[in-house]
Amino acid sequence: MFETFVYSVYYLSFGMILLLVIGGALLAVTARSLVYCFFGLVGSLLGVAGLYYNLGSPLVAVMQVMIYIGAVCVAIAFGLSLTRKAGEEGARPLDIRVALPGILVVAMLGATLKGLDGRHIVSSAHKIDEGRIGWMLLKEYLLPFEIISILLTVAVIGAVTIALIKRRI
Amino acid sequence: MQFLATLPNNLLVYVVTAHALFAIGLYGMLFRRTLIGFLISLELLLQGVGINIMAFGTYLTPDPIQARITTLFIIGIAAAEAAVFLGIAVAVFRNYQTIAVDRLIKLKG
Repeated sequence: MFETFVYSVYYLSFGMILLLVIGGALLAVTARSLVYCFFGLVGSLLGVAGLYYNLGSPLVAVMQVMIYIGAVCVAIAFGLSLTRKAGEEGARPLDIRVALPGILVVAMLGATLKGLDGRHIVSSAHKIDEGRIGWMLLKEYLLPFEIISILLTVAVIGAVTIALIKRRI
Repeated sequence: MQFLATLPNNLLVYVVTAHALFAIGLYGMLFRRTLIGFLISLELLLQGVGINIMAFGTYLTPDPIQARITTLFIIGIAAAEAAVFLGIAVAVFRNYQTIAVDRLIKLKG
């Protein structure tokens, strides 16, 4: 009895996570005001963190929340408040190009499913020892790790420099 | 009901969700008016890519750790890209007093 209750709560929460991902993304691209877009983006990113957790990786979920919601979304909020201007928000009127993403993504999905044919699918998401990620980052993946850190430094310095340019570009 | 119970542990659910996010992001890239709207759509595209990589790495490979490291790298690069994009948006706004992509046509012949 109790187990059934726990499992139904689990399935319900998974459905809510999927709803949060897709609904937040839809709000983020269709809302008129950019502030609503921003909140839709935050909801979608939270839902994606839930999906990562469900895939058996709490570390990536925590990283997602910390970096995306804690850093990128706050930066977007500042950019939003610095560059707002009445009358130029909202989406363009729909035209024939609205079919483009649909067709492209359905083709991609078909190709993916065709490629999945005959592959051996592991039956369940297995838990692994996530402490190994730290070891691998400092051994096999040391060079990409260092390059990413240099890239972040250069990007932040470059962003500040670009934003401080006085003359007309 | 039996089918519903397998959904949280099904590769197809994650793949379809990731592709839906990618489609929504592409739609946003085509139809938003401002640079900040572009940035928000770009983040959605990257989320789709990240979910795909995590799902395939978890369900198709014996050792899922490489997929996790790749996803962490994607998150880091997305942070760098957002910083540069916002710097460019602020610079454009200071110089043109607008970030609507329809009006940034100075280079147009």
